[in-house]
Amino acid sequence: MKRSFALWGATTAGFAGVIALHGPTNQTLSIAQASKATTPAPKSATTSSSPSSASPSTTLAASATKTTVAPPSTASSAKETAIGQQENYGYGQMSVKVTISNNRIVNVAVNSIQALESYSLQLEQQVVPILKSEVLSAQSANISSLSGATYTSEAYAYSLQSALDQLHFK
Amino acid sequence: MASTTFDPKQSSLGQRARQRGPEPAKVRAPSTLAFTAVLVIFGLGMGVAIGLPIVDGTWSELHGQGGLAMFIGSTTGLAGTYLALIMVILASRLPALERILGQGGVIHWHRRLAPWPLILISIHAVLLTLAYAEAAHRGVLAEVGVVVNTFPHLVSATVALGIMVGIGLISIRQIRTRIPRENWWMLHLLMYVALIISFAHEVALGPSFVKHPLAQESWTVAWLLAAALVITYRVGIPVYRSLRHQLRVVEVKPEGDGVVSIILKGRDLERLAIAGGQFFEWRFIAPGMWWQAHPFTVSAMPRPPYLRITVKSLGDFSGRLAELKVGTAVAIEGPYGSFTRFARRKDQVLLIAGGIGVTAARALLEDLPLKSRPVVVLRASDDDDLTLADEVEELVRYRKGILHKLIGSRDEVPLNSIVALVPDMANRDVFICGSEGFVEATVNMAQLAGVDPDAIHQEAYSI
Amino acid sequence: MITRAEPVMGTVVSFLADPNELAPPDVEEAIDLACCELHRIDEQFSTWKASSELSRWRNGEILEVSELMDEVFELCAHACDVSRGFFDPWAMPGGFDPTGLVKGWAAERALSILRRRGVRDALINAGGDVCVAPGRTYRVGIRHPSFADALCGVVEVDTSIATSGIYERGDHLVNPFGGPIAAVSATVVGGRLAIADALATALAVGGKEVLYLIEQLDGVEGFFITAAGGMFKSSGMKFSDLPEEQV
Repeated sequence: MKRSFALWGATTAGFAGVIALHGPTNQTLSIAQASKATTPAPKSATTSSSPSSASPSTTLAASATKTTVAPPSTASSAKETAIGQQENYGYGQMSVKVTISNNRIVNVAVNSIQALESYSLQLEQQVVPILKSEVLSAQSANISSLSGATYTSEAYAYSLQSALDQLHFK
Repeated sequence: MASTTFDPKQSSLGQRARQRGPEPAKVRAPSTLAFTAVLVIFGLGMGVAIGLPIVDGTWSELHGQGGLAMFIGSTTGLAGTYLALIMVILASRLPALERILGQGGVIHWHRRLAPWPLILISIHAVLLTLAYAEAAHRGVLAEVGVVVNTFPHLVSATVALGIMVGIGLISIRQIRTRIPRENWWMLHLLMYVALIISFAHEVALGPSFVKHPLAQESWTVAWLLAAALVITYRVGIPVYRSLRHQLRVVEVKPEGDGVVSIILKGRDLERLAIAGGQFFEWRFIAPGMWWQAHPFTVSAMPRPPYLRITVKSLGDFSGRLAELKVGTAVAIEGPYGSFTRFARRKDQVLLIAGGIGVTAARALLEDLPLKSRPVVVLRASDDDDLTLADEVEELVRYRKGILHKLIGSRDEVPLNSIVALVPDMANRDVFICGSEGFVEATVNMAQLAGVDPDAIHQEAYSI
Repeated sequence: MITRAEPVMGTVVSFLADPNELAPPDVEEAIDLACCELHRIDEQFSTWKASSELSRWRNGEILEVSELMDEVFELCAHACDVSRGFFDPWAMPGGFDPTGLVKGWAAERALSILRRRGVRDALINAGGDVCVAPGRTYRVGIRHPSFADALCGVVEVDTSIATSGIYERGDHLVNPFGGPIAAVSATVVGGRLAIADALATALAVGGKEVLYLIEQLDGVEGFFITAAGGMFKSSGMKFSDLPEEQV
């Protein structure tokens, strides 16, 4: 009887001790860092939407389902949700979802192993639109060769690469 | 039938008194404090192993897809491997535990605990694979391949799991009894291999360890400690004692009816502290015998430089003992056993010995103080089976006790006739030794007679 | 600089070689040999030619394949693994089709022929997939997905670069998982051209998920452009600064 008491008593003590002493350190860190992230997730859905092609938004939806966690679509006026990209979890990246309601942090949820989702969102924040102004003239770029989707031998004749080849030939 | 070397009679007490020489090593009483401290440490560790995943971030795994499977997979891995650590410490026969529980008790708990780490670690492997498969949208079988090839050290962890499951299977009673004991034991040794090769994946991948240096270091230290305990108590100390005391067979003396006493001579035997009723694992260095170790009780208190064991030649091995050559060296591991005077809780004792079990009772008897007034019951099928009876008689007489000899078949002499012979049984510590069947039946009888289970002590021989 | 444009494999393979101390005829000869190799590979691996080893294997006419075909199988399996299935030659509609890798692989083999003949500085452009002899960095422009005569970027290449896209007629991409194609154009830089070729295809199909995989590979970078005109690039992807103002 005394032995069981010692064993189970110690187990309970160890359990309680580690919970009490360790504390939720992870979460405090992440809240501090999450406040830096400003882009609310729903915005990402609008970046690539364009009137003509249906594919980009479906692409995002498709890649969102692939990453297995849907971005928070319920962005009601009372709540904002910020997603921050956080520390390395040792083998993957962790992202934190902070729910803010009425200027108070209501919930902090940590997504781990969903490294792709946070990476995706990080990419969204860096997306560079290719506008007409970014079109570069081949001549002024001083390039030796051109990389592009494979052209057929017929198309080659009209391609930039053939121009380059002739340029060098001269 | 007096031996030329070893005089088992009580008068040797006087002989020892007249010896000039160093004081014999006193056997220290087993420490309940040390035992309880070890239990407390085990418990604390278990509590930490269960609580740690909740506070260190593993809990956050719940939020992802397949998160529940991942969380449970991670926690079962930690808890299961912690239990494996406990099992290793039990297997080391740590004295703090063994002196209270006896080798039999330590092994009993080791066996009882055994399914748990196996089950938990298997669940851990299955659930984590399922969780990763779900997160990666891959079929489970394909995921096994990916996981094993992607994460470091998982090949060895998988092999380790295979070894563990294999050992678990061969330890199932129906299978274990079909394998020769030595072969089973050799295969079981592979468990050390499994534990060693799986260690790397624990610290490299365990969510409680990755990026948690304190937890990682503590875990590593705990395992190093367990390894040190095993090496010290299963290898180091036995080798030291064997080399120090240099025991050799000096006489093989028939005691009648297939029973033989083996007298051994050694050095510094005064320094070998043995309590009456304890045993060693004996490894006789002779062809065909050196690779097996067998437990035999020391059948009398040592009379330095001599030591005696008394064995009934039954199996292949013990049959060969009768032919042991004089001069054969022996390696020892021990002393083990909690069937000693230190197990007493009450003032008076009752010793019940069946057949060859008399050896433990006889040694224990000699270790009891002169004023103890023991009651001793010897149970045998016929008169010839009463080995060492003359020694027991003398020892009982010197201690002002009572000896009962119960001779006859089980029908003629039912066990509960002892109840009538010893009316105050419930006030005594009851020491029972003999074959497994005999011990089990007698323990039942004692409990029915009102003896407190804590006051019942047993030593069962697998005959 | 010596150049050559060789029509083979349904496209045109461009050679660019600096003779350095070699005599130009030797360089031309080396290029001849390289072109022979390209044609040989075409004969063996063309899905358009019924007599090619690949076609006969796809039809079940032959069961044992040559060592070279085996090498291509291995590479395809490896690329499929690395791209987590986004490049999957076995998932093509007509059966096993390694075309997305063979072009780059052939260019690699042609380049090694040039190098063995002593040509130290060379660039081979196999229909848009480029590999260069080590030791020299080349400025390679990337065709703008919307404008055939313009670039959307310039990259300094010292190993290889491959681009996959859907804007050229005849270039048909298939998503092995059955979903939509993520990009109009995808480019991968670094590593072996055969693998870069496969990864570029995978990146065009899988978009961010494949970019994530590329992010974990050492020495390989990539980017892709969506139909809406957004460009997503890996963290190490660097574009060359341009000497002058753009148009």
